[in-house]
Amino acid sequence: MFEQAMPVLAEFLSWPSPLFLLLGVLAGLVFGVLPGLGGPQVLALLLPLTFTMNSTDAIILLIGAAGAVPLGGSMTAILINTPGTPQNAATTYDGYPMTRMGKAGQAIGAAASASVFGAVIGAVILTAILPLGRHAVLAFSYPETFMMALMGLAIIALLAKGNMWKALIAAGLGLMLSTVGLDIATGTMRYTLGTYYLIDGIKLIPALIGLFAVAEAVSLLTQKASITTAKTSSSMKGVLEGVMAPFRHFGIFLRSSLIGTLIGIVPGVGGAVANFLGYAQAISTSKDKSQFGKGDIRGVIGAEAANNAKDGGALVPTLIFGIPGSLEFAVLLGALMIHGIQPGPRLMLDSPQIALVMIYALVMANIVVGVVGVLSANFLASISTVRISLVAPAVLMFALVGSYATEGHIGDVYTTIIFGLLGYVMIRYDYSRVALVIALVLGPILQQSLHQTMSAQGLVGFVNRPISLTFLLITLFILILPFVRGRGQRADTSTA
Amino acid sequence: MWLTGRALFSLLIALLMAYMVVASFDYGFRARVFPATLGSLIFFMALLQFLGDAFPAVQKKLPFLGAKGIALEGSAASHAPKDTQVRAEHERKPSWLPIYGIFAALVAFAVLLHFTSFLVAVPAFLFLFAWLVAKERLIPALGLAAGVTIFMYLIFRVILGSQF
Repeated sequence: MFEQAMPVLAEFLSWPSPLFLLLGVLAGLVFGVLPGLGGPQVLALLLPLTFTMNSTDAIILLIGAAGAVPLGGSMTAILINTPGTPQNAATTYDGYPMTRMGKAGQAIGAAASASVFGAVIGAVILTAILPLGRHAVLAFSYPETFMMALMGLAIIALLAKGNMWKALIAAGLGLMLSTVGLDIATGTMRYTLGTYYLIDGIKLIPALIGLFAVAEAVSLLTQKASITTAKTSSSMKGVLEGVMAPFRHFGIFLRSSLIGTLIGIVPGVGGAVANFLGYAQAISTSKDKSQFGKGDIRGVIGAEAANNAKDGGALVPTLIFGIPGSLEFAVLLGALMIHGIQPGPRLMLDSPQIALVMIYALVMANIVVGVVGVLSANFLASISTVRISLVAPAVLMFALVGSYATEGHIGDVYTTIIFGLLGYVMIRYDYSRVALVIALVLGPILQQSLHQTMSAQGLVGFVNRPISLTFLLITLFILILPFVRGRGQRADTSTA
Repeated sequence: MWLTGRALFSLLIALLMAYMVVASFDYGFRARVFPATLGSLIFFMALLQFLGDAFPAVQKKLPFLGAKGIALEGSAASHAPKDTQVRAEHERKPSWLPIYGIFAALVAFAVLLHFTSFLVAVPAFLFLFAWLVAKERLIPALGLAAGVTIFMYLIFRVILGSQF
């Protein structure tokens, strides 16, 4: 893989790739500062624009946007006490008090610096792990691929926010929806309802746009909960001092980056958990805890280093096993498929340049967003005060026209609306959209590996190979664990 | 029995799964093995969820329906200062009527887009939607419609060269 590092870097730096990176970063920053909208939404809306691009530019645009969202969200968390995304929630604890103390510039400098270097650490760890992943992938055959995908879904359900039973149902629904269309193994048309439109299955782009952009915009329109009326009136003094802060508190910064990377490796956990754990780590490892919550820069560093480092970690399962490490990367895998690149264990072997482009884009996006973010912090924060009655209709328009623009098929617009409604209902009734989307992406891989295993080895193929059997046992353990813990807790309660 | 929206949604999933399982028997063995097996499993899971949602007594007898994922257990939320509140994704549940209105408007937009051009459909829909549904004032709604249409024209027609 590394022998291609320089040629891929040259391609990465050649025009117009830097322009796409910058455009992605700007889009990500804007969506990051808008409360209620974030990475999945901006990626879903950008997807249709990548159709006319080559796969490299498409990846650069999308990773640029994904990488910029967390810092965009931290701007509003620090300046107006409103986390732009859930993964910036813990940043408000010390970021906003710093703003009230007149240290907004210092807080933003620290957030930007911790984000940039946190992402670099995540990318370095990713780069170190990938060659090992190659060996793991070579030990994989169809049963292992099937069991790995199944285990990934189980982990996502286990770690889903809220109800695990519903997350499993959502994952099952996603897998069932992935069976719509032509079954490649047998040539059978399934669930097409007699229409040509469904022969290719449910299209990912309209589904993703509906589930995230439309559902979220409708949710914002009806709730109006994310409108902020706070005005920014902060001095940007002390930015440089803030930029140097992670190096003054290097232990906190490094530990948070490592925590973020590890959280990222576990599929489906996401930046919110990394952000909280990074903050908790900053508190628990500090001798003087008295200033936390009152404007301690260590709180900002701990929270922000972790949520940016998680992207590097999230690329590990995405690249090695084709299991998205986060929702953003589920959308990214969808983009790869649209560009003819099949995610899965073979991706690392057949297209190592894709992995390199992702690493470069991740690092560069964070550097660019760090600079752009610091320079435009006040302006970005003022975007979040734009009324939802203006933002949400515009998002809806971009969602519907974007889905139509990809192939010019009106069926895509209806699909977007149907999935928008489904997404809204899932938000409302606590069903995990993450589980559904990841299942929708993994469905074809699961079915293909199931058919291949059954044809070559039969059912016994899943249990007579050690890796596959191990994954099966882990999956069963994951699925049983919460229910056993629940029984244990109830027994303790009744005893007490 | 509490036939709430939550329960109805669970029932809807169960019915969809039942339909997909029954329909799968029209396909050959290899083509149906995955959807029939998985669909049956999800049907029973969704049915139990429906029973739990509709009958609180059932929920108590099937405690696994309420089992939580472990993602946020033991997280640093406990370290949060008490005066800091992070907004939940949904703090209040609005009534369904405006939701139906929004989705009906989106379907109307799709029809308009199908029979005209996006250069007609977008400004017309956006102005009416922002003004009537989102309750925006007249002038900002007009500005939004004009601004978004020009931006879309530049992106889709000029830069991407889309013809629709």
